[in-house]
Amino acid sequence: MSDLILEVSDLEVHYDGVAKPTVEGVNFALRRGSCIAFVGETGSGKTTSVLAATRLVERATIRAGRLAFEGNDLLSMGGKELREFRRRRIGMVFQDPTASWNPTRRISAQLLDTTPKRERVDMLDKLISLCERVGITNAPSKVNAYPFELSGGQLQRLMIAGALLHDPVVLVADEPTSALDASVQKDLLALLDELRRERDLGVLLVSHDLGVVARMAHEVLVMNTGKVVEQGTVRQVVNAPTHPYSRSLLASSLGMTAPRKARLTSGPAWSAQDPATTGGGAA
Amino acid sequence: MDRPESEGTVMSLLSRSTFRVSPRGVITSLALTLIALVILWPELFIVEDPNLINVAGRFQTPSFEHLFGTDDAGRDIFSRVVLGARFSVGNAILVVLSAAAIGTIIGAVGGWLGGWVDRLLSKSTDVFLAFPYLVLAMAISAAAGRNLTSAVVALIIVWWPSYARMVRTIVRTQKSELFVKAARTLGASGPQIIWWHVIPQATQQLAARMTLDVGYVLVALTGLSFLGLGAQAPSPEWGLMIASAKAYALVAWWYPFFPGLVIVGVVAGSVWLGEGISRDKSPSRRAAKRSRRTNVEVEHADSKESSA
Amino acid sequence: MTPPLLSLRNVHKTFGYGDSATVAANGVDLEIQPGEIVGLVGESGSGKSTIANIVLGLVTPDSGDVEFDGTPISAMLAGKSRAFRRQVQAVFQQPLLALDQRRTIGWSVAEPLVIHRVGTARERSERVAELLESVGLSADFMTRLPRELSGGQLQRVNIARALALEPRLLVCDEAVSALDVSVQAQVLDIFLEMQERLGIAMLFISHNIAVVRHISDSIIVMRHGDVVEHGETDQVCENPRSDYAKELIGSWLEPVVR
Repeated sequence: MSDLILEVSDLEVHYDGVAKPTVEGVNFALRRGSCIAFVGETGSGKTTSVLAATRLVERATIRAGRLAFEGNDLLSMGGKELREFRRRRIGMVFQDPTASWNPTRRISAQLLDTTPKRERVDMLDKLISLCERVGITNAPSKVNAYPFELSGGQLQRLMIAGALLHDPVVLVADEPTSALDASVQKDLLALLDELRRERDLGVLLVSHDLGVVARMAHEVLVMNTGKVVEQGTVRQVVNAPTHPYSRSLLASSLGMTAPRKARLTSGPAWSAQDPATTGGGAA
Repeated sequence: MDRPESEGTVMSLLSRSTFRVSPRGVITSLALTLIALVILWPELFIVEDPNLINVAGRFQTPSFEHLFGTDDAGRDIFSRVVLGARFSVGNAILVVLSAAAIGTIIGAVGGWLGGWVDRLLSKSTDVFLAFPYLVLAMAISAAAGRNLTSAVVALIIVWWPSYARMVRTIVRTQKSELFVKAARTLGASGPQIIWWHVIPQATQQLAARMTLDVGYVLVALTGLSFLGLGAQAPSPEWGLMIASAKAYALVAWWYPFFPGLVIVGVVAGSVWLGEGISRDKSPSRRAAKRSRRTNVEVEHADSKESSA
Repeated sequence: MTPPLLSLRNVHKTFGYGDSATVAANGVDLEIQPGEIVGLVGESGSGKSTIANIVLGLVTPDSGDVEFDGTPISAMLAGKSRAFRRQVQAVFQQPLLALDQRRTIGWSVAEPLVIHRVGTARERSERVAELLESVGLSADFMTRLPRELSGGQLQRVNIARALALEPRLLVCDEAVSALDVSVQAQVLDIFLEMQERLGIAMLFISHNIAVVRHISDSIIVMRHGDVVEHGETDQVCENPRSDYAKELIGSWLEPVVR
């Protein structure tokens, strides 16, 4: 059996009512056990690319040279088959733990929503053991709690447990740690990494943070205004980017070892109205 | 060149207008202009002296000469209705403007200061809210005599609390907004912030409420006159006209009919307009809605404010 | 020996009562010298926002001294609160929400000048154009509305507005946290140049240790209302003494593949 999960070539996405394509020319191949990261700033198309490639996106037209999941064409999939695909083959972890949960319902209720009633008891057991795996202590009671009773880190772990409930093959993680405190972030990323290796998952990671990408990804696609400006192994793209945009992104990414107080961007930043200077600055 | 200090609240009320070029907008503008003209310059529309008594021409049916017919004293009803607009609609507008002004001030003070001041003002507001307007009007009439002024005062007293409540809520919620915090940091005083930043946020709500209220106040005011607690003879106030017409309804149907029709028309118009205002999705509102979508990267290209 | 520009001594602040009381500040000491950028780093619940509000005079501490240029700010606020406001300004986290949506950019940047009655209308217009240009925005942004601008442009507007009164201290409360990486870099450059050219001091608050390290001359680390570490930036970052600071620095993910 091939370990090739997702094949995407020439992906193009148009949101309904928007003339320009939001994303175009995206190509990648996701294999089991590997992690591909999509890096870019807001509006770059990174989330759209990942959601479109996994047919999770709504109200949009997707075109591709090839979009195949385990060899089967994804584009022509519809109705029940598509729903099953979304439910069982893909797990998703969202960015903001506080916004992703319905505050009026218990965690377990929300995670078992799409499970048919007769399977619920078994699923609940499975969920609890998954919670323990992801590091939730006292899982049975936490799983029965309301979102407001839990911390951001706990909520993200629960979301991961929920994403793994149906033994997916692909895990989509959209900025999984950007809303968390730094100390929590490290542990959570380590968890995702472990789970990827244990379960041979194909991970599609969306992030704006090159530090996260350096830690987690094997392959990186750098996106800007809907197009891929650079693509390669994580070592190539993060340590030695070639495209000017990727390079500026790296230059703007602060670390703890770079020289302090250094100028990060080129061009005048702030200019006083003083006769010696020519005045006016970059827009 | 931008002149910052000329952009006070009034200017912002007018410039960030909720009207756009639309059928509703055009009809509204025309209707409002018409009403304003009738109230301010009835002479333009009056055909015959509204007070001219002509006993010989009593109870004439509506005709080309007397569009709405004549009344029990032979006066041209159409001209009386036209003149009466300022007594009925004009005063209704006066009541609404006054109630809104008083209510806004009280609501803003309580909402902004909080604490015991707010509790005191809120309780007072609640007390006044409890009064049915009829009872209050009767009490004031008993004290100050039965006339239009008493009726107007009574209605103002009855109507301000709903504005106080509305504005208090708005001020209280806006108080914790970041731009209010920013204004305080800049050194703006409470009144400055309320006048420049908070009240303008409420313009749509206020405008909608005030427009609707013109209709409701009109009904209340004409009702009071109908009962004898408001305008007195020989005023051409619409409610009073209907009261006078009551006795002759079977003989001269047009007498109560036309004033009644006009009242219904104005009320219906104010409700239609008021609802239109409250439902208006002007550009600023649409943009605010769009920026609340969290899922996808939209608009503001280089910031992460997707859940504004 | 000149007094520090800003000093907090043994400041305490608790919110709420009884069981649900949270200690936002527990004996906090802080000093900012004229022209110095002091970084305050802490995670959510550390109390850093409370310190910002105290420094801005928006919240009164339960106890402790808060002095600006040697004078207690409580006195400055009670009397001529306008004078205090001219010296201490702020840039907040959300660029769009910090502005009144219904006002043009020109109006908002001129607002502090109007409040403090600085100059004539014509002079104010000129000053606004000047301020916008100094942060890299052309004067025709004056007639635009906030919703027409990007996050980075809006934050520049906020900076321009904060500089209008020529303050001596700028409180930056997570001022770059909501911005995209490249825009964040631009704004940090602006702050650093402001320090260099205007000699303005800053209290730079963030949860991001790398950003704080980059911009600050000295750092204060807070946790649950306590100051767990403070000192010169290089000192704290290279030789952290407290476990918490070590953890904070240790959990930073470098943008490099080893």
